[in-house]
Amino acid sequence: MDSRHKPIILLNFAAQNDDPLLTTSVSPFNIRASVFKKESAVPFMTWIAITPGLLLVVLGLLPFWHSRRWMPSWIRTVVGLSALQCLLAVAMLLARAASLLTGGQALAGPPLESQLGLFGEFMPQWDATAVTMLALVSFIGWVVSRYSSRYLAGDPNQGRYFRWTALTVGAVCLMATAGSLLAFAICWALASLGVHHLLMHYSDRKPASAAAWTKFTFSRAGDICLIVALAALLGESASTRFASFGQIAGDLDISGMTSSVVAWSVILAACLKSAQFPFHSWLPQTIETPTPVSALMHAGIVNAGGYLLVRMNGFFAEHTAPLLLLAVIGATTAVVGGVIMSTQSSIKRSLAYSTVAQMGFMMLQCGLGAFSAAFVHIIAHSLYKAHAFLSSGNAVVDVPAPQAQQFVDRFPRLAAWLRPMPSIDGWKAALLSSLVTLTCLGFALWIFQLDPASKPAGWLLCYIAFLAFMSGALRAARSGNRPAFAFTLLAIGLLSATYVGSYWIADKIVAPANPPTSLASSAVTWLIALAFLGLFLWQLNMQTSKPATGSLAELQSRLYVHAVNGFYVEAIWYRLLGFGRVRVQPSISSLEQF
Amino acid sequence: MSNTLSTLSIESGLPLSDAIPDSQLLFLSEVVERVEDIVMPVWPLKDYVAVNPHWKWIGHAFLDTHRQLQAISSFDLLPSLAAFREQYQRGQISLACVRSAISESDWQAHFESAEETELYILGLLNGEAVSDQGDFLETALLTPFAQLLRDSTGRDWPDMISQEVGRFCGSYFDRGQAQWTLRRTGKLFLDWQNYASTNRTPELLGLRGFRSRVQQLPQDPKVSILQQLHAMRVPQRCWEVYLRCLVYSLPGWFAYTRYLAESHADQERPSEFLELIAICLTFEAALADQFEAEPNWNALTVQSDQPLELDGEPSKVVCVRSVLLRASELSWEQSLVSEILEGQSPGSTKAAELEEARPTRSLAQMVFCIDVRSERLRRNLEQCDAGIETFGFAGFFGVPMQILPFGSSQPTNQLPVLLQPQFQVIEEPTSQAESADRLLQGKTTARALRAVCKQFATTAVSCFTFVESLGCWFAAALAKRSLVGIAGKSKRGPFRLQKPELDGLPDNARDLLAPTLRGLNRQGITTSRQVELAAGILKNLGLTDGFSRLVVLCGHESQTDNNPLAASLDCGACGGHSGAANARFAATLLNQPYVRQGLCERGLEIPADTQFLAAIHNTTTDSIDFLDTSALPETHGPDLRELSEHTRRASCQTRLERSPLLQAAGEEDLLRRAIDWSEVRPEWGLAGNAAFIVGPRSVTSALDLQGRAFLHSYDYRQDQDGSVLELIMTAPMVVAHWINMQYYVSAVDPKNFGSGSKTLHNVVGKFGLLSGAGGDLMTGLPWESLHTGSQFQHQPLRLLSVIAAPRVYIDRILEKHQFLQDLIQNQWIHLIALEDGSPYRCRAQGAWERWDSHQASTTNEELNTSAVPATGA
Repeated sequence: MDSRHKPIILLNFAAQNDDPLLTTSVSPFNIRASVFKKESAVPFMTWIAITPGLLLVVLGLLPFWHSRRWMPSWIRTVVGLSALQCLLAVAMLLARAASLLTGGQALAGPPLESQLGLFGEFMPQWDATAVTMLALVSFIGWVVSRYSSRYLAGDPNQGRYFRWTALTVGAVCLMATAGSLLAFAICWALASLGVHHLLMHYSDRKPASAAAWTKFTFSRAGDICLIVALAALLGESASTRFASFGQIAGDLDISGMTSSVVAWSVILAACLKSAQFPFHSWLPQTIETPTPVSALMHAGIVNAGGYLLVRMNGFFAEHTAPLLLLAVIGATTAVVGGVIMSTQSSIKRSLAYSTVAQMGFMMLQCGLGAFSAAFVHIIAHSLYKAHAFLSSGNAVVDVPAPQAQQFVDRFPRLAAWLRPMPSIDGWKAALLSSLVTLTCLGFALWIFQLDPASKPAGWLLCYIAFLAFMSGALRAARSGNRPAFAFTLLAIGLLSATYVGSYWIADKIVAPANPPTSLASSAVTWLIALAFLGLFLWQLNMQTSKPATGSLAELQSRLYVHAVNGFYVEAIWYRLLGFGRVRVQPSISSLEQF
Repeated sequence: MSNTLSTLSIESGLPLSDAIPDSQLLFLSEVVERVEDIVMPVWPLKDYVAVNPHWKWIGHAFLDTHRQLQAISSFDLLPSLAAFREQYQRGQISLACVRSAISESDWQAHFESAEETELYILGLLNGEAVSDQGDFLETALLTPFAQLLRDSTGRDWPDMISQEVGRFCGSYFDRGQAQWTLRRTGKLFLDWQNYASTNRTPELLGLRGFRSRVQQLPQDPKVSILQQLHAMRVPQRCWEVYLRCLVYSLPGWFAYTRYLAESHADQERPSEFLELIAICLTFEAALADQFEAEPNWNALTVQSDQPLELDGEPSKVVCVRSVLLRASELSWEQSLVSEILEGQSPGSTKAAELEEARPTRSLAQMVFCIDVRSERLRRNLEQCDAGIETFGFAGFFGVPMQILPFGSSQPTNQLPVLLQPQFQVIEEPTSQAESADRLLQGKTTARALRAVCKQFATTAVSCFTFVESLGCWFAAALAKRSLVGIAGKSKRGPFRLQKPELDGLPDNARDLLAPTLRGLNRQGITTSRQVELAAGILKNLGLTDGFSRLVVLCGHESQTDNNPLAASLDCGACGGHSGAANARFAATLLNQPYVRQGLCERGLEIPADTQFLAAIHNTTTDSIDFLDTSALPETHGPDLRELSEHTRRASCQTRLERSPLLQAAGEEDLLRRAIDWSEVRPEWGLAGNAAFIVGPRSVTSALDLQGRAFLHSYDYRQDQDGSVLELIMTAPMVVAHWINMQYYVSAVDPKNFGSGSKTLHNVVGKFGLLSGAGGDLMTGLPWESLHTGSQFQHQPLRLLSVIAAPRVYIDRILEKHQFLQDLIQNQWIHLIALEDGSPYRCRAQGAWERWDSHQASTTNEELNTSAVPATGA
């Protein structure tokens, strides 16, 4: 590490201050540390980049009448602050990328000078992971608040809505840059508070309040887990800074017992707060709030569990058992959520279950130690889901297809080549598709110099990508349309490159210190691979023109009924938490009157 | 009856199916048919049109309908007191009109004198709290068991049932949202039985033994309904009223089954309406069984085919609300009719000025849809240039066609839903297009790729890879669409909105494809019938001589993004679609030499230098695009250029006029709304509509109607036999009434006939809307389409129809059509005739009465002063 490396852009200040000597664990209560010593300017500098986020939180905590009284300027302020935060984050990200390209280190260490004492716990951490995440959440925050400024125009409660949006977006921004588990947990609770009020936007709607309170219950359970983890750490006077987890995992100054308590409770908290099966039931119900809230939730908040695990990735190298459980929970959620999603007839429920499935997949990746892949997933999924929710009103019209014909027309050679292509039938198409897909994936891996065997769950992810691309290609082949098939194969090439490329970048950013590779060959991996193969075959089976008959059909339609009802998880929680009851007004029921 | 009841096995509560006599089945069929008949269909989102949901009630007086609906449902037909208070504060209700409304009403039941009534009403309007709650209580006589048990058991059964029925119906009627769909046999009830005998949700939510109950039901929905009715011990005379009550508890889904029946009227198919009743009844019977609910049916004094009515006089509040409704209508009528009279009085006429300024042969005649949004544009066009004459005509231009879009197998109906299409027009590449094959290939490729994309994105096996490989690209889409307001400077917007029907086609697809006349002969539309069609268009339009060089047929469409209810802003006369196809077809037809020849033979001579041209009015941006201009002879180039200049100015003027209504910052802001995905109020649509004016333009040309009136061109002097007026009163007036009532009920009864807030809209199965996670299908207009956030944009008023024709003409038509008599005498529409410039009001009894403006003498000032003692009292 070249700690004397000069930053090229001013905003890249965080990288200049690496001193591994100070990375040893320090008591958070050790206030006498040299916070205000020689480089005291730096800790305050680091706050500048997060100022808009802080201001948003402050705005959100102001009493309600402020937002009501100055509503138009309030709205402008919230949109403006999130835009500013986004610009700052993107600028820092670019600076990071520039320094990386000019030979800087991949992973900027935390500003350890400021890491001492309780104050240090609250210092933001400016590594590439945090900056990327900050750029993402502030971008989503800006898109959502801008969207809401028109979408909720005329709503009498728009001021209140923006107050809680401000709090949520601000808290999530702070959470993205939180340097310690303590700060993270506090920001998470704040964001959760904001979301709770946003979910209660139409508080007179019973399903809305049911959703909000279900989420409240799970979130508080998650908070308890986090408090347990924090208590365990602080009880041994250990720092809760992520940096100390990452770099010296194994020789943490805490007992093995504490360490595993922390691991288990953090994973449980992540599962509870990131809508893992069976704690996902509130997520599909949250469509009882305005669309942008759904977008914010599904794109920003619900990822937090995965992000926490990515942040703490170094810590888990020693704790394979909780990770294994996480992988199992994640895989279950992914498969169950995916199956439910494919049965939903309304756009928003289908999107919501898609989120459940995607969160499951993210946890699966974390559980297998593929933290870089999980990080890619968080970012890509957030952007996709925000867009999908915000444009869900277009569900009536078909999604516009890529302009394939115009593309082909532009290249007369390609058009000429497509014409004599032999007609595509089942086996030939399958063979061609698999060849093309394998080649594309292999080529992309070669270009980026990635060896799947050396990455956690590398082979599994490649295998899932292969199945996914194959299912797309086979669908195109079945349409019997040659340009469409050719275009699909071309798209597979491009997508493979994007996929591998983004993994490559994320791997540079996240790069766990000691990835827990031991899991890669475990039976769980094989089980998951099998589950995906099952999904793939089942998908193929559903596509065939002749429907299943006999007991298989019977089984399928039974499964369908269970799936379309979300395997009753929603109903069970609804009943358990007592939302089925209504408050009865003492009135004469109408039929008794006559 | 008693025989059947004795066959009931008391333990199970279910009779043996073979014990049900045929006579009962027959009776039930009749009952269900009558129940089915009162429900109006709701159209799927892509063909969404406004309907009067209470259309089948027009045989009853408006107020009686209100009371009959209240007896069995939570429906409401009268605006709330709060709404009147708001109107009063905005000066939309004048005191004089309150007085006349009181004199028209039956106040005797609740008040001593008319003065007392007036004081009471004014007190309410001035915000006096209602002292006697008893006056305002009106409970339904009959509710479904679920509602009844909700109160006594403390569990939300109605909600549970609507969620369950909604989830199943969403899956059953799905038009391509879900990847894995319900296995359907085509029989709703049978499929539901299969579904419900597996589904554990009702049991988890407290409905005991529901699965086994469903399994035991007979497969025939009718037998099943009979069994359940017997098990619930509903007396036969109450069946109809009870089933009605049940149907009204889920108005949306039942209306959708009515649409299915309506749209497949030619096919023999099981009635989904009946089957849905069977489903709902199963829940009811299960609840009744579980909680042993047995209402006292004897107390319901009802005959089987009589509607249930609330006893006694209307309550005080209903009386007051109906008086106030009439008062607000009178206030509007007052201002409209006196303005019309003023505009026509010989002294001040602006109309005459316009007439004088008009050149002998006008620059162009432009025909618009009767839609209220055309009014502003027409007025501004006429003001821009006196050489532009405008007409109002039903937006489908009298062409009862359906169009088969290029490369599609699904024809679209392009005519009012009241009518059946007579022929199919095919959309084909024009001579400009390079090759049809190429276009077709583009379209099929796009379709195939769309399916691939959808599958890649939404199946369980590929969605994860989809997100990871493609997700990041959505950042660009998010940024682009969020920056619309900032970057959207150009008129067309920064990026082209992809219309699904143009998917896979080049950008200029609209010019490349056009409806053709080919293939009409094959469908029996021979040349002579085409000439007939053309003659009909011109005759009904009242344009038979004095043709100018350009006659523009201007359809209309809206432009919005991310708006599931976009069709509600399109042309209702074209079945909720763009009017471009009809305009293009009609223009092409009228330009054919053989049609001109045929018209000439019928004595309808069109000058050779007259060219018909299609255009489209974008109601969101108020711009006019001329279509198929390449087919126009070069000699008409200068005319078109001049006309375009005027239309551009008029569009600009109209936008300026509309800006304050939408609280838009200016023209730019108005244009942004057409392409902004976060916009909930892209335009006001037909909000504010309140009048339907039939007559020559000279009746209204001096008036600024503020986009509140449907304007239909008509000149009785050209209509000796009254057939044109008959057509106008039986078709466009009914369409206007439907639109008017749709806006009316959505405003006064948003709970049942409004679709809630747009922010909660959730498109189900690509055909309908849910509010939030599930439940009943939403029908009607959302809150944002009627309300600015601080006040109602749409003032709920029944349609005021003003017809400039002799009373005998109108009487003749009313006599012929019972439903028109019903509409007017039962006060669903108010009718005023303008005979020789003097107005006559059609009374409820069918007699005519000279309309006088004595009420106009009372001003709003007086109103406020006399209101003061009322508050003090």
